Amino acid sequence: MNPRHLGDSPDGPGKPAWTLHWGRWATGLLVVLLLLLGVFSLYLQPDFLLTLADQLWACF
Amino acid sequence: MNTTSYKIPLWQVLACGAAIVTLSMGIRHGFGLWLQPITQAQGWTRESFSFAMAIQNLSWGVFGVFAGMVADRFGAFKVLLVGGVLYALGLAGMALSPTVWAFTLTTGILIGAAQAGTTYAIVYGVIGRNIAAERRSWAMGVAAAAGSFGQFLMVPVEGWLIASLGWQTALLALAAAALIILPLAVGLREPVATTGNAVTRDQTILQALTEAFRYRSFQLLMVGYFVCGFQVVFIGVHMPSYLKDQGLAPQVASTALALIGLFNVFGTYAAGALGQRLAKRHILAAIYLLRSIAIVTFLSVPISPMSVYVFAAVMGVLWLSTVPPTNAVVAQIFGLAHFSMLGGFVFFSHQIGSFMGVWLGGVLYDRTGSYDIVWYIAIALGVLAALVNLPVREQSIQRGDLRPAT
Repeated sequence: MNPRHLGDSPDGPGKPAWTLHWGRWATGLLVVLLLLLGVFSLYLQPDFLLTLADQLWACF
Repeated sequence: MNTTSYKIPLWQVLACGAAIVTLSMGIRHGFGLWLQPITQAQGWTRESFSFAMAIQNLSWGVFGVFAGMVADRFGAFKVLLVGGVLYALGLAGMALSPTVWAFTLTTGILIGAAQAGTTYAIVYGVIGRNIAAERRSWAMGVAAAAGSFGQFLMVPVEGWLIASLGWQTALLALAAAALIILPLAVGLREPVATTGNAVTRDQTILQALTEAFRYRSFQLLMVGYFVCGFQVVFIGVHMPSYLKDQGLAPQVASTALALIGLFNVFGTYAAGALGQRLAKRHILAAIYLLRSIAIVTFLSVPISPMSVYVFAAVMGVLWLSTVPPTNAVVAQIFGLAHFSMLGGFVFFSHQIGSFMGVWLGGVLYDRTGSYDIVWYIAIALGVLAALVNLPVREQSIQRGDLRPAT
């Protein structure tokens, strides 16, 4: 059995924990960004843009 | 006495809290889309619709205080259940009301009360009691970002629902969606030992209120939050008219509001996360000052679609970013025993500011024919809010010492 070293992933030796941590973080960020851009694109649909422009916007 | 220290897991608090706030903040944010369909179908005036919305904002503020009191005493779970049911009933009433008064009662009072029971103050109480202080501001940022995302998401979703189902069925579909809050609330059901009645409550409600309202920092936070409401709602409601007056196409206003929604998500999260590293009073002061600088810059440069989009993006970042640091400071100063109630009072101040922002915007426009004076007021208030937040003392209050903190 290989010895565990400081900074190794809990899943096994070889891959530092920070690599997995940043990998997950970057994936999460990418998913959030894609989701937000997807919603933003809904606003840019010409029909909806006109409808929205014509409505009262109750912001808060 | 049960001394169990079990708390709800972090992921569960965040997942359920964020989903609840996404729904509750999101659903009401698209209500403007119902203005035309409802007034046309029912033969009502725009004023009738707007009056119900104004009542809703006030009702949200007033009931927020009482919902907070109940949540502090009996736990957020029961308040969320009642809030979810009221939300569904209010939306069904909005769809089926035959008269203006019934519409005002359901859309205004009922939905306002429902929002009080399902939004920030209540969910933040659960976050406060279950997440360690060193991660609390960040967690509040996550929940606030979820609310911002809900607002951003639900406007086009509701537009699509109206277009495909018709306004009445669309509202009933939203009523069904609001009921999703009920199972989500189960995820925030706190063990007895962590609910308000088991957290050290060495004060009555009256004592807690007396202490808070005599404490200078609490007064200053309320002033700041009033300004937040004033600026945000004035810009949100009146900016489309302002841009129209400046000769820009209506689509510019729509895109600007979409940009505000998009950047608001980042801003609220960032403010919460920064609250773990920086003094929250400095974050709040910076937000209010930057808002004033953004408005001054926007009014100073020649107006164009690009200047509007840049302004919208900057204001989006600063939009609801005051929510996590303001609430985190309240929890930090006064503790958690009466946190939801005190958060409700601070939010009430926000709602008064919101009301003033919409109302004064309309009144001064009618009298002067432009929004100039209101913009100047918004700038001055931003500077004032920045200044009043600087002396806020974030340290826990020393009980028994009610001298005003400066």
